[in-house]
Amino acid sequence: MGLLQGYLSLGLVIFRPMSGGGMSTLASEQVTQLLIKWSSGDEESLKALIPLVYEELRRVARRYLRRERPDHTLQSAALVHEAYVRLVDQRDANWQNRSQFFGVAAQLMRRILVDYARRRSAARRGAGDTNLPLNEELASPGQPDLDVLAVDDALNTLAKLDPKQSRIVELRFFSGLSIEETAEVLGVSPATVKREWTIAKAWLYLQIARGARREG
Amino acid sequence: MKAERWLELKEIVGGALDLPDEKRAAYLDQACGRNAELRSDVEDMLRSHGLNGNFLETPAIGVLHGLSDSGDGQSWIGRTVGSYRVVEEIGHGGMGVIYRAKDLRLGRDVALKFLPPEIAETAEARARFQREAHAASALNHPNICTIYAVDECSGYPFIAMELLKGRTLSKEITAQGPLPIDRLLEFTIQIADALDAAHAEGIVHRDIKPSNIFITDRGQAKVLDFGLAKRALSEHRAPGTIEVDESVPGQLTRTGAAMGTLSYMSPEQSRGEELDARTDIFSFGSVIYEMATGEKAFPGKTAAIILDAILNRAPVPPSGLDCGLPTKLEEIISKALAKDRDLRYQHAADMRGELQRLKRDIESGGVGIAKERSGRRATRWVATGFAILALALAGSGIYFYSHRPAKLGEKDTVVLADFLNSTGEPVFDDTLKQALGVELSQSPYLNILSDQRVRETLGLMGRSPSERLTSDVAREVCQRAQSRAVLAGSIANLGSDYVIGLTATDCLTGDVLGQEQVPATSKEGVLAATDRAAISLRAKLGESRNTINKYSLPVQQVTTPSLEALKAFSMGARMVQESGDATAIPFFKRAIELDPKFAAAFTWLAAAYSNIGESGLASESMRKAYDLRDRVSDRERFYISAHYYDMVTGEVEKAHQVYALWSQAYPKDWAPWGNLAFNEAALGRYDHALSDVLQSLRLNPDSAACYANVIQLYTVLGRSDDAKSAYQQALARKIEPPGVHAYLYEVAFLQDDTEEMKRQVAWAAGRVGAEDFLFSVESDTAAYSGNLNKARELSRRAVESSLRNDQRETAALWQMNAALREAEFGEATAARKTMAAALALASNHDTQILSALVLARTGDLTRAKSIADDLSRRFPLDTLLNGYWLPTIRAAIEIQQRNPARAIELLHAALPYELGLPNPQFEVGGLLYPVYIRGQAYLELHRGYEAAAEFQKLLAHRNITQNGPIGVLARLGLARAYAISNDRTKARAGYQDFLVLWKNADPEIPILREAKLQYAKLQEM
Repeated sequence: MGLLQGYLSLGLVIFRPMSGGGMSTLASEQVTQLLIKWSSGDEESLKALIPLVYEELRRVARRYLRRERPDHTLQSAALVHEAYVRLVDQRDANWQNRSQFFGVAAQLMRRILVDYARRRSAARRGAGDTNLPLNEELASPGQPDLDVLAVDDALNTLAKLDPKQSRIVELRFFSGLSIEETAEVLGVSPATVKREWTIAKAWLYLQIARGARREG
Repeated sequence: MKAERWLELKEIVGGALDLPDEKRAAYLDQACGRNAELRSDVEDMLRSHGLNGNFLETPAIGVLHGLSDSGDGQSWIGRTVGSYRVVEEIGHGGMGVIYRAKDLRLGRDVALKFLPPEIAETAEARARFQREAHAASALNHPNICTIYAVDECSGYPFIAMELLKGRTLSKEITAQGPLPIDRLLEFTIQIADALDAAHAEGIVHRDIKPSNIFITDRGQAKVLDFGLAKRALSEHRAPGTIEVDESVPGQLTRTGAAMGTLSYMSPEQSRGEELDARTDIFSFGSVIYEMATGEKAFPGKTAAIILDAILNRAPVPPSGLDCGLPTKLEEIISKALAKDRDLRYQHAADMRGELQRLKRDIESGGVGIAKERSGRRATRWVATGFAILALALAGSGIYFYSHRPAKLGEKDTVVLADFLNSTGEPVFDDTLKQALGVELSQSPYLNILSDQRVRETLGLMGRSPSERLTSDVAREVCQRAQSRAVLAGSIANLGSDYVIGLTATDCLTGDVLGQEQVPATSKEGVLAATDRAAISLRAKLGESRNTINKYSLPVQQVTTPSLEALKAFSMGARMVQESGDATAIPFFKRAIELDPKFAAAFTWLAAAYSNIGESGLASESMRKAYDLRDRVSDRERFYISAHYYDMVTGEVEKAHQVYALWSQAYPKDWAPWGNLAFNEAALGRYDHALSDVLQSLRLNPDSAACYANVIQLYTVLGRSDDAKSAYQQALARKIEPPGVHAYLYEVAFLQDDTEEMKRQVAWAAGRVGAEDFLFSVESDTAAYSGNLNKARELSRRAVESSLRNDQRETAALWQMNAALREAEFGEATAARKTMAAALALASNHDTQILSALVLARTGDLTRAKSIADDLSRRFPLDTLLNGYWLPTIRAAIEIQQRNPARAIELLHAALPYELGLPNPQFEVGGLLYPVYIRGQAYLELHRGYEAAAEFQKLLAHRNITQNGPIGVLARLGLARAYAISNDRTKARAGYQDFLVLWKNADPEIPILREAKLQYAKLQEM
């Protein structure tokens, strides 16, 4: 019923049941609780957390990729923020969960987008594929001017050399976070992120260019 | 590569990048020594860095979408850039989007302006941009918008600057035409002073125009965008091709901005010559011209015409536009607009001097002007000037004698901070804030920011929603929520006495708006003292004596004289916010124990019970609150009475009267209007409902519920396009209540737009709270074309979806919707089974009504009667129960008992309500039920024409019945009605109409089989 909620301000205004936007309170409480548990060292909770966040991100990413016209583009950072606001109970949210969330989300975004790119390139090669949940929306215009799969490959190599730089690239490139946001997630200074980012870009560029030359 | 090797490489590359090119070789010699391989790797990296340009700067998702990261669609909201967190978009400026943002370091609100990346595409351009913006940021002048910082994020340069409240001069002129002379002079003197200060620092603006001048709410002019104009202008100086179109809403495309600029260019600027400070003088002259006349000095539809005017023509003299301007002002404008810059004012200071003199002359009675020029025009000016002055005086007279200066505007809200309690007596914690809140909430003048908004805002600030509102925190909340002032209280010991202090502070400027101190000689006197302080502060904040006298019952009287009871109550109120209604209940009960006449405690207890679903206990408490309603403030009394009628007795008309009175006494409250609309809609008075809900929305433009209701009402009124545009408006405000998608689905259904219906369903998929609603609405669509099995499946999914979200009562309604459909389709067993399941989920006022209807329609008359009688006993005054539902249920029973004539008599009672949207949830079971049952009764009576009229009525109100089963069953009813009246042609057509609609229907549905038989019989005849 909820007719009286909000003293002196809310009355019987609502015509029909209208419960909260999107995620239920339950699910958002669940995500929040999992984040809290995870931050106190419970690695199991991460396992439970990932599918929830993955689903949500995939949903928003799909929505984004399906858009035909680029006006009102939702940038991926905005997208991750949206997922965050929808998934995490804002009453219990704090800066720590926020950073953790973005950390997890960046890895998942990478996975989602690389899958997408892979399927798209498969589709382009004419390979018949029957089980492509993202594939219906492949009508997106334009040719990629950058090979996301090549970045992903090179990034795997970089991760072995320098895990921190690879995280920075995930946050910046796959999640679209700014230098400052990346710094916040990783708990380092923006200057550090900037420096590492510059070097990672130089290395990845070199790596991809060499790979292309070898293939060519 | 080995990890150590990588570290070394990184170190050296990093070091090299910090150095200018020419120093790198030497550095590498030293850093790499003779390790040639390392050196080669380092050099590769450095080359790569030099080449990689924008590599990876477009986020992956943008790459995959095949777009470059275009700034136009970039949303920065919610993001952190530099040390700023972007909060919301507040406008477009000439060169980019402006956001309100929070400076996380200094805790203040700022404006962030993002510029298009082209402005700083190359390193050189970037450096120049930085240099110029930095120079401008050094300007410190009250009439120049202060620049705090210049930075960039992902290649987008942005400027952090002072957040101003008000509007640009160009909007000011658009909104009200020429400015009154006193304001014009006030502003132009300020602008001239700003230009003088900037020119003295060697900074030329180059783009002075009305949209670059801001008029704050405090009546101050501020010049914007110093130091930014140069590039923008040089980029866009391609005259002759582009049309001037400043009138297009949301213009400010880059072209529009450039063109807007064109009209204010100086001749030397339009010729592309070197510029000095005198270009600003010319542009400023154009601006004054426009302020004085409301027209552009150099108008024109194409760039060529404008440029020709700037270069070769004198503007139409303002006197020719009949504006009654002082001749001196015309002279000033004309001198500033001299084509030859040597003939203009050479310094802004000279111009300021002349404007000041003019101002003084006018203020001393216009003598100066008359002397300078004789003749008709001057005389006319003196007369006009006098009239203006006289009016101003008269106006201010009235103002002074009947009003105090209002310090708070119509829409200003006030944030209550927690009391600073330095007495060490915990009984004052929370209590005094509560008391102050009660006292202040009586005022129709003050608008206190709700607890809910405070908590939401704290959340946005990254703080705990239950954080104590110290005056610092309150100030930040105030700024963020765009409230106007913080009201902070304190209590301290003074010997054995107490002193209560209250201060209202403007949260943007920090100015004290009002202050009050009242002593109390004893603990018992503290409440009364708080009360006196509050009343006196209300006066100081500008509230009229009239409303203060009318609405200022002492707080002890409207709450409780017991400090302890007030304490328990305050704790309860806090618990409601912090840990939910259930935890608050013991505190309210305790407050009532301490003071059994504490009406507000009963009200809150009722609210808490209601919110946890204990409607019986809620009614009981509300009844007690209602009995004690003399002991509350007027505002609370409205609230209690209205909810008493709405919740406890169901007396719609009485509730209606209360809402009407409430909205008159407290015209700023949005709730009474929203509830009036609700009641009007229930009674079928949709036009009134619409105007009421629009009023509510005006008072609270962020209300999702209001938007949902506006959309719903437009739909019911057949105004689908208005419904859609209301939705767009809601979206533009970033409001998207999930229920809205069900309404939009109905709009699409009415317009036969299956694609749009699918889109709405897709939107809701996976969104718990919207998903169930859409499933149920979709089930109706399936049933509408006779796909009963599909409808069953969708209803089942609706129920499951609600249950996943723990919404049992909602689930029960979807279930009941399915049950009623089964009943009407002739599936009696399935109907009763489904109904029983629904009642098991939730048995309340709403589901009981619907269950009685299902039982009546399926022939279980004993149970139907007993539920109806029980409802009638429990809710004897309930308008819609007694006026709409019980007549319908009892008429259905009479039809089953072969007394159709009695059914029609019973349904007379429903006539005033039958087109309404009554509770329970009216999409359940379809609307216009009394009409439908009356049609059935006439069929039984073999009165075909009357029956046809009823079914026609249903078909004519398709906007209300929407996709509910009644809409399709009416077609069958109509066919039967014609068959009875022996109008075979129409009957045949009617059956065909129905059978075509149901051509893919599940064949075993009893009413379908019946209809086919009847149709076959008709064909034989």
